[in-house]
Amino acid sequence: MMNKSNKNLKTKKIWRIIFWALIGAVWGYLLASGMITLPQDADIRIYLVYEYDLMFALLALIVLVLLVWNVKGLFRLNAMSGDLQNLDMPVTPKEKLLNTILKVSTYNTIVSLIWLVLALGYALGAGNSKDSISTYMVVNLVSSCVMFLIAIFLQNRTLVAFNKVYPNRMLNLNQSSQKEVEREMFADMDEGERWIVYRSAYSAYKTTNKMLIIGIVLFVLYSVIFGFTPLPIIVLGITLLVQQMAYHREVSRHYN
Amino acid sequence: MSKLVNRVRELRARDQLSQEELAKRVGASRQTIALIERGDYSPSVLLSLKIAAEFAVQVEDVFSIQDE
Repeated sequence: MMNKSNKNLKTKKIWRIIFWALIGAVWGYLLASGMITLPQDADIRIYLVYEYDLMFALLALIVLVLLVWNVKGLFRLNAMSGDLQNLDMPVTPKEKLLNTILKVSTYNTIVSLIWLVLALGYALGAGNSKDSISTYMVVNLVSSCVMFLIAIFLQNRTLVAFNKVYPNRMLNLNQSSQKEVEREMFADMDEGERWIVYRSAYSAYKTTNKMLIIGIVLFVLYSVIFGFTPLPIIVLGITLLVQQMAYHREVSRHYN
Repeated sequence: MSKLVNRVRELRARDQLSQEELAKRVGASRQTIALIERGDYSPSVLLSLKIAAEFAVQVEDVFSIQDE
């Protein structure tokens, strides 16, 4: 019975590979034969009034949503009672809310940072003289900066809330070294919590691997359509390499 | 294939202990006790011995192997 299901799985895998190979072959032929061409005067930049305004507007909207979610979550968290004594569940409602706020706060910080660096890059980019920095660019830059600072503040507040809910595993917010913070936090965990961290880390490693490869493929396609752009491909390739090296270094430390 | 089964919840109910109280007594977190009870996590030998000692029973009376 087990052998039959294994055989079926293998057959399905083979058909899937053949299917994707066919798709790739057709797509490759269409591109190479010149049957699909981009019109010379095509302007595929999507914007309303200013360049990249839609992209920055989308980033601002995401940051705003996450910010409101974070603030609302913190208020709700403060209003909740934290009595764990008679609760027999893996995660109490207060802990569940705290986990959600921690995630939201982290995503908020990352997205606002991305907005800030993109705004900086756009405003100070090559080809932009001091005079060509428009009001739009300045407003964009200042807004992203303000939102990033608010995101940092909210993350600090979230970590203070974390320390209140988990007084036995307090994060030392005054530590100057990130490494020390991580070491302390890991040292305070028991075996079950470390097991969760290991599983989560492995899941993150696998996902990042896939995303890096997808990113490299996308930039190759981008190069084919819009012109050769080696830098993103090189950066992603180096990141993939460093990730693999870090993983294998850790493995060999325990096997040697 | 074998899996680890346990009577932690049953013994906790016998001694009227919450997950939080048992966790404090054996030096683990409440989340770890919950993971063990759900069968998601197999505790280390050390933690198993501590749990068994807390319930005043043998380890084999708390944890056993079941063939699936």
